[in-house]
Amino acid sequence: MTSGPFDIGGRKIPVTVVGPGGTMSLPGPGVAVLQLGPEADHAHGNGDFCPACEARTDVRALLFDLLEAARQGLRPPFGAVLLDARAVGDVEPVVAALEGRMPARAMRDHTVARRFRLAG
Amino acid sequence: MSTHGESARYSATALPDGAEVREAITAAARERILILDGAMGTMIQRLNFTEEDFRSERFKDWHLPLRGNNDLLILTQPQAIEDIHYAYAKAGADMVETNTFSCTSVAQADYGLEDYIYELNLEGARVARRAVERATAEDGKRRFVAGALGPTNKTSSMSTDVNNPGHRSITFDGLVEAYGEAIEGLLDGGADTLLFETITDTLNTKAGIFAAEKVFAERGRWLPIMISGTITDLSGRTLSGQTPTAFWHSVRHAKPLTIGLNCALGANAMRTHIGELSEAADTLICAYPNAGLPNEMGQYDESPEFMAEQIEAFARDGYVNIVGGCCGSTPDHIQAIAEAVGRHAPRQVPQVETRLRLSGLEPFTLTNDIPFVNIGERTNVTGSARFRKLITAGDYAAALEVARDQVSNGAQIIDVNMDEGLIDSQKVMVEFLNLLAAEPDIARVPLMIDSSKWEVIEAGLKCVQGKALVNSISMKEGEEAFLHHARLVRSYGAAVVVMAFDEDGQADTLERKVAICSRAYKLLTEVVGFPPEDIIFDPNVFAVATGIEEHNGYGVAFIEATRQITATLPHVHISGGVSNLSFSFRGNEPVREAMHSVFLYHAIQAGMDMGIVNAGQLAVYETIDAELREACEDVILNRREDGTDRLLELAERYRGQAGGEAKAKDLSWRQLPVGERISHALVNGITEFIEADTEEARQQFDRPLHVIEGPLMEGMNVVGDLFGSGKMFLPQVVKSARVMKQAVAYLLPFMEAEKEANGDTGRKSAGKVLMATVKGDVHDIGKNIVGVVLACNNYEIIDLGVMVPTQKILETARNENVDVIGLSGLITPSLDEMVHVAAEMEREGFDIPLLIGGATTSRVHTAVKIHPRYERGQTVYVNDASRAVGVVSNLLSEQKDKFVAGVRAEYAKAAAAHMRAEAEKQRLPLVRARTNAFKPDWVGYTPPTPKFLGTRVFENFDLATLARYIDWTPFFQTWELKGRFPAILQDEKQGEAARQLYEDAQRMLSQIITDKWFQPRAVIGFWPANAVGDDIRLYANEARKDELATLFTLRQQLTKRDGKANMALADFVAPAESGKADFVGGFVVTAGIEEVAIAERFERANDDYSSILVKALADRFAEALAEYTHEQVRKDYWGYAADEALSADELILENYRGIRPAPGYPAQPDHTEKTTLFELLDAEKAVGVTLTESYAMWPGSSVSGLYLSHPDAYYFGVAKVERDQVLDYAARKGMAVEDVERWLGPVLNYIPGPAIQAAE
Repeated sequence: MTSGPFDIGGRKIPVTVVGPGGTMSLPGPGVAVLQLGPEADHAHGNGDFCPACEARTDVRALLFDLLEAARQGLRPPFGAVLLDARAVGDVEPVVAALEGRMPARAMRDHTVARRFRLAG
Repeated sequence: MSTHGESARYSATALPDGAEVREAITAAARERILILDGAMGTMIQRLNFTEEDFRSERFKDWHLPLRGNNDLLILTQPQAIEDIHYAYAKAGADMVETNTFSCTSVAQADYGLEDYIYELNLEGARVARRAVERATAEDGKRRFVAGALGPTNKTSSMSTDVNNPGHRSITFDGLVEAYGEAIEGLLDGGADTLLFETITDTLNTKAGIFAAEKVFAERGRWLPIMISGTITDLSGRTLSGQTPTAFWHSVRHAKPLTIGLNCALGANAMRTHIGELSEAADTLICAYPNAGLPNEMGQYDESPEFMAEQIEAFARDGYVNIVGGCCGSTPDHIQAIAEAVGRHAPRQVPQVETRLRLSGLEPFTLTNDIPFVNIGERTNVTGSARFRKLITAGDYAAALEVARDQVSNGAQIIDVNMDEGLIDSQKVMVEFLNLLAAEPDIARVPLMIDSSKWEVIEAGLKCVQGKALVNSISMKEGEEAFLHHARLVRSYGAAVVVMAFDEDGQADTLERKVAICSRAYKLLTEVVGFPPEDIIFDPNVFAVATGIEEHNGYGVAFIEATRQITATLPHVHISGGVSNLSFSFRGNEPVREAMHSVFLYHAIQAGMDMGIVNAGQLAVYETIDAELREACEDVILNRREDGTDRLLELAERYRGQAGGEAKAKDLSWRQLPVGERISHALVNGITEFIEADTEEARQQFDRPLHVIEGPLMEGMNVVGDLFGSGKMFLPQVVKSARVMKQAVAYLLPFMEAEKEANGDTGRKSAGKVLMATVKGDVHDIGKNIVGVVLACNNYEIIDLGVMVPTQKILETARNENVDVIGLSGLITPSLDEMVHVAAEMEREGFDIPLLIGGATTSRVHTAVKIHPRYERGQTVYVNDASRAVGVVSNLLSEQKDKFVAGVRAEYAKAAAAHMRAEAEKQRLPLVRARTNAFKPDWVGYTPPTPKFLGTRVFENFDLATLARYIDWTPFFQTWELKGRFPAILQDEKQGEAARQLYEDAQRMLSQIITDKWFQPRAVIGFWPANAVGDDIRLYANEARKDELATLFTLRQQLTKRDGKANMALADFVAPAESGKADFVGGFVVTAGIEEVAIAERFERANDDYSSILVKALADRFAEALAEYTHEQVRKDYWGYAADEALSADELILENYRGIRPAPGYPAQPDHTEKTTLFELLDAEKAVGVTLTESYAMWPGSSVSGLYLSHPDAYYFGVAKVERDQVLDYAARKGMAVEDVERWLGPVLNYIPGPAIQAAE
């Protein structure tokens, strides 16, 4: 099935960002909650390029995985995203990624740009 | 290519010889699994180098900071780098990677070090070489140096700007230059292989391969190439969006020594993808994942031992030839991995069939199942006036929609041609392909890059990451240019269309077509080394019926040339632009379509397997007016001298008609001889005249039986063939069967009379098939469809109906001496019943084939559970009706042994894969799953109170109202028409069948409504309820003291990530300790018992079609009633959503608050829970619905479930449960453990048995 209970057709899925000091509201039905953790501590060298680590912390990669998980039936479908970025030091890069101001590194970044929008 | 002079180059005499290295590694890899080293960055980080260390003396005054440029340490701390390589070599690595991941001008631009690229790579290879030679001097073991080439930090097939998808930050040519320089250094420094790793964009790597081949050719020395992609997200695709197999097809032209994957978070995340490559690639597989990430507890779960254990599983499954580690791994990891995989044999490189294999984002393989590849032609400016207008106007957005439509309409490849005089074709080709690359639903298919100008083709090839097709090259400018173009096509990794064209012009005769193609084949395969399966010849389709006599033979020449070329030149394909053929009939679409169709019919039989055609405008060969078809055939096959004149004359009659619709409501077929009329009636499902025609035929034949064996079976064979080749769809076939049955019914009395007269025997069938829905199950639509399809193919069907006990099946099978038994079932307990039947067949000594089908059955279940219980005979899973005939005919033919061997091999594989997958899924102990239960905020929540407590019965529904609540999509699924309603009605392939079916359904629906065929009834109830642990306790009244019943629920035991809860239905009900007064509802609705009698009536009238139709509609009414009732509950009886205003479509999408889960479905897989529900509602008395011994509802068109009202409630799947939960559940429910295990059989995550310990 390509669409589900919360398929919203061609409209973009709103993403509400809750930054440091903000309060998370109780998610209603159809709202997916995504948590951004603090920077991952991984045994990389400085400047090492690791797409796997990037995918784990990059907001667009995480949003794409939400879409994929819903498509594959691994999670319920959703019509909105509540992004808990309270643990992130600076939300500006997150907002920039959602507004399409960060360079795309993967095909999924284009998909995310087409399917999601920054709410509010 | 390089800015460095020859003098700077390394001139050691002992540089590796690529052929020797390839042979040595291949030989070693046959003996054992080889070991690649681990992470360099991880080891460098441990050294804590400062900015000064990074700079050393040489770069102390550099104008930019250098700390973090790990690759520069090759020049500034060479001993440290050598020591790391050495440590890996001693830890067991057979191959170490140079520290040159970022040593390209593109990646080093950040540090301003673009001028040091050659030196960095040269020294990078030398330092690694020194390290392995040091280790080899100590222990004598040979080790190899892989020259690492990273992805660069730019992408050539994607835009970095999501708002400007056509933008590219680097070009193919720029990458060729950057990679070329690095490769020169690695080659001169003594690397044994080149390793393209962490590939984030396949097009970058294709440029790297191109550069490598260029450098190899210049230097006269080559090295084996290794290729390693990266998959990091849930989609299982590379970062540039390709599946693993598509990725393999894109780079296969490099003839890589290894293909594989690296990076990814841990070995488990890589597993299925490595498995896929292992199966697809006929070369060595190399895998080196990251050493994981810190887990939720903050510990690194991938210790050397843990990582080794996971990688050992790759080895155990025969997936790998070379393994190592990426980020986070250390010499300790490598040592542990080497030890672990040393216990296992290396993967055997599989033989892969020689096939044309292309790719877009997804792979495309031209197999025997695809008789003809439709290449979409709407994105060709020379073929589509509309597309030309859009392109010349610069309207790319609309042009992309054209491409999208083609793909969604089933084009397997799309042809892009921009040859238009008024535009800059090369520029437009590049712009369009770059934009197209950003559209995943278009870019998934391979592209045909089509131009008469080589520059345009080459520019296009530099834009596509997939394996494309070039259209076309030829020898028109002589051999030299042909060879030059062919070599380039090969280096860009594309397949090619070769026109039959030489220095003397286009080939028009059979002899020249064959001669030119044969010559081109020899040059391509022997001089260029082009894979023959990647060659597509276009022997030129020319116009016929032009009035010029020399043109008359063009059609035959193409068809015959096709026959000879495919017979003499192995593996090649034949394509052609079909529309040229009918050039002289421009403006007369019906005639053109007929000509194309007739031409393709013959050309495909001769071996043509591709073509640029507009599939939507092609008449079906069989449906073309016989006279017109004859005339076309005369012209195309050049059968008579006056063919052209006759076709021209006939063509006048068709002028002005729209194509394809010439046959509507045309009764001219009534003029045909009786045999053909019968055939026509069968193919078109027309019952109107069948009795009269049958009578006429009966009078012509000696015996009534001959009518069946003659015209009727001939007609059904046509139907069978059309169905088998995908030209007819299931509803149409069932209608054909209706015609057949009525004809046979008409003949029966005559046959009986004949039998009485001379004691003759009856007709001979192809085989006897017994069909039954197993005990406890009442669903039979699918079984009836299979029966009808088999009957159409002259099998005799003994249908025992529904709820058939095993003994009855076996007795009938024995008494009737049947050839095959087919079992059907829809509900999950039927799965176990089928296992039981299989075991009984074994015990009683049967050896006839057993077929398994029905909604809950699956190939895996058949392979794992049923097949092993019946060893004397063969069990075969039949996934849909269209497969049934093929399977049964194979099983009853001389091919049986071969077919059975194939099935067994497939089942062994499926069973093994299943075991592996199961072993991998980690389940939580129940105790821990409970601590992670879903806990909504009960404090701030007040559960709504229903308007009444206890039960209420509802009757006298308005059928017309209910009909509006019907979800049609599952209705079409019943008929094996797959797609969403209403889009399916417009589907290019199935649309016609779907529309007809829908029309018939609507007609019956209005009859159902006006004549009140069904009397639906519903009972609903509400009770005070609170959750107690994983269960829901119901109370007799609001005092909540007296317990009425308990609804038991099961909890998910999957290991969850990202803070997701382990759900149980009880979580949606307020727990007793919350003090909140919550409620739970329940319902049973039914379309009524009337359906059964009506269906039987149709069956008796030999009208299976209507019988199946009425059952399918009854099912829809039951579902619609459930939907309607639920809406009433939300808006009124429970009333928590009084303001809800959803359309029927939104209802189907379940876009509302609350759920209605049913026992036996994923959220509560225990069917026995229905008993409680039925007792609470007194369902038998209230609405006449009972439960069978397998807890199926009777009558079958019924729906039951619970109502839960919490706003966060959603449908989830419990999935597999462990023994600890089963024990707990059995105790709570007061049921024997064995009984629980029996009913939960399909969801148990363990093999039940008394001796097995509880999980944990």
